[in-house]
Amino acid sequence: MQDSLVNVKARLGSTKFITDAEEHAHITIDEDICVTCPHENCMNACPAQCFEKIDGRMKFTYEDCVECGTCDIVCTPGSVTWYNPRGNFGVNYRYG
Amino acid sequence: MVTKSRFPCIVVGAGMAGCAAALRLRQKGVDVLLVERADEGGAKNLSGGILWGDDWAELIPDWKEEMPVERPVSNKKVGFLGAESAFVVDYHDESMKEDTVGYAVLRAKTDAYLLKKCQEAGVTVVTGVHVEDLYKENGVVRGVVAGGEVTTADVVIVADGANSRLTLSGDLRHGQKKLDEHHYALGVKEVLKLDKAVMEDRFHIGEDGGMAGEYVLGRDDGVMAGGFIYTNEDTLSLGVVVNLATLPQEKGNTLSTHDIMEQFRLHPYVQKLTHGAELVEYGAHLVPEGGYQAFSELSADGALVVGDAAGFCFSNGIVIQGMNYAVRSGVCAADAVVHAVGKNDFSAVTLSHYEKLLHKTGVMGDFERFKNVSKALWNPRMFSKYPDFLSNMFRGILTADGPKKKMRAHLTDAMKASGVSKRELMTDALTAGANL
Repeated sequence: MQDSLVNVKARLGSTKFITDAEEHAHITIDEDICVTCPHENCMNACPAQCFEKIDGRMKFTYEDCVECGTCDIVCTPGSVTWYNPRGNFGVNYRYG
Repeated sequence: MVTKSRFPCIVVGAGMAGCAAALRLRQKGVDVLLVERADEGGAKNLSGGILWGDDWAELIPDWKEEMPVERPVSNKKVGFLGAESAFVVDYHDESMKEDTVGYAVLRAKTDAYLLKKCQEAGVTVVTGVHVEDLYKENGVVRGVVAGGEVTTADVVIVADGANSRLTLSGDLRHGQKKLDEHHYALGVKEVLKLDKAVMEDRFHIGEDGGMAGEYVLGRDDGVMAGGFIYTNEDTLSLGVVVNLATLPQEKGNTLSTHDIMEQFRLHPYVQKLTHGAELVEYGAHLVPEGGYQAFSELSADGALVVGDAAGFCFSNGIVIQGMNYAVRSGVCAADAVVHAVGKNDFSAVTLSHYEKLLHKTGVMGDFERFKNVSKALWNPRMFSKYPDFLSNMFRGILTADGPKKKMRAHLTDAMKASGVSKRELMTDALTAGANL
């Protein structure tokens, strides 16, 4: 498996977020469905590297999400449940 | 709890489309509530982005002086990037500094201005409120749901952007429950701070000009992606647009959208232009580029859909246009609401006046004309062969024995070296000619 070329998390450090409490995470995934996924396209498609496999289980980090909606599009098995964050929470672009 | 609002119309989303609709409605004397989920206008909005055209003039005659735009496009570049090469058409036109055709914009700035403009015009603006769903009674949209509470209106204009949750949950996408990956690309973007004087010198644009560059990224792995560089006042917008359906589909292949962004950033041609620039923001946004075939439902009982949410965005190969269509569709939707208010009838039949206006103002005509453009643009050979072909040809001409050969020989040599057949070249030229 090739490593990612870029430390996205470091680049995301430049972007402003207002992070909501974990109980209000706007995207949730069903790990049991992820286990059956034939392609794991979410990992390639997410521009913020929010999807990560840890000990064979898919994990999602809502804190770094830029709310683009790509994972909802490419996740064909239907594990991703996508909502916008609550008002004002999430990414806050200063340039856009 | 259901609260009856005094507003005939609620607009959801304060991007270019939503602000244009709200502003137009106020100018026509209709009360309107504009709801935005960010606390500050523009904080959720991101585009490449070049705002082409003069569509704001109808609503804000002095917009070019007032709006916090970046630089007018006085230099347009279109190119192909090979592994270490760049073939670029470089059009400079000093007259476009005065007689402007497009401006680089940063949406956090422009959209904050637009929201303020709406407030000044008498639009009731609520920020920091996330509209979770459309409120329906017997299948008819009657308002919006926010914080679990319903606020009613005669008509809702849905302007919640490319990743339109409301058209999905509100069943306004012809029965689709999620967006189709074949109709969306992903834009990944970095904003880089660069000394103004260095930028003006490096890009040959002067104090009052700007550059918009778009590039086909040559790749041998089947991934189709384009890159862009735009000059802002004292920053650069640098990014890629990735065709999602062409990303690796097998487990373990970790080539990702951010890797494609990084490869573009590190390309020698791009490095020379961005050298010394410092990252100030990283973001991403969907590009609804499916065009005509991918529109949401445009009018329904009690609702209209505008801008990116509806899918009004396309590229003709030279320019990607979305913001101008957002403004125009917003204006058309507002005028359709004015029409419906006049008849006191907010049924889909009456609101379909919106579609008539989209035809009348040429929006639909543009999309019909370019409905097959993605066939020409997302042609695998454009990315897998032509960048290589162009660099082989020019390198051939420039090497020591170059002058001894006729141009035609260089062409056939380059075709052989990059595996492009005469038939492919002819077909692609014809497809491009017919659809661009």
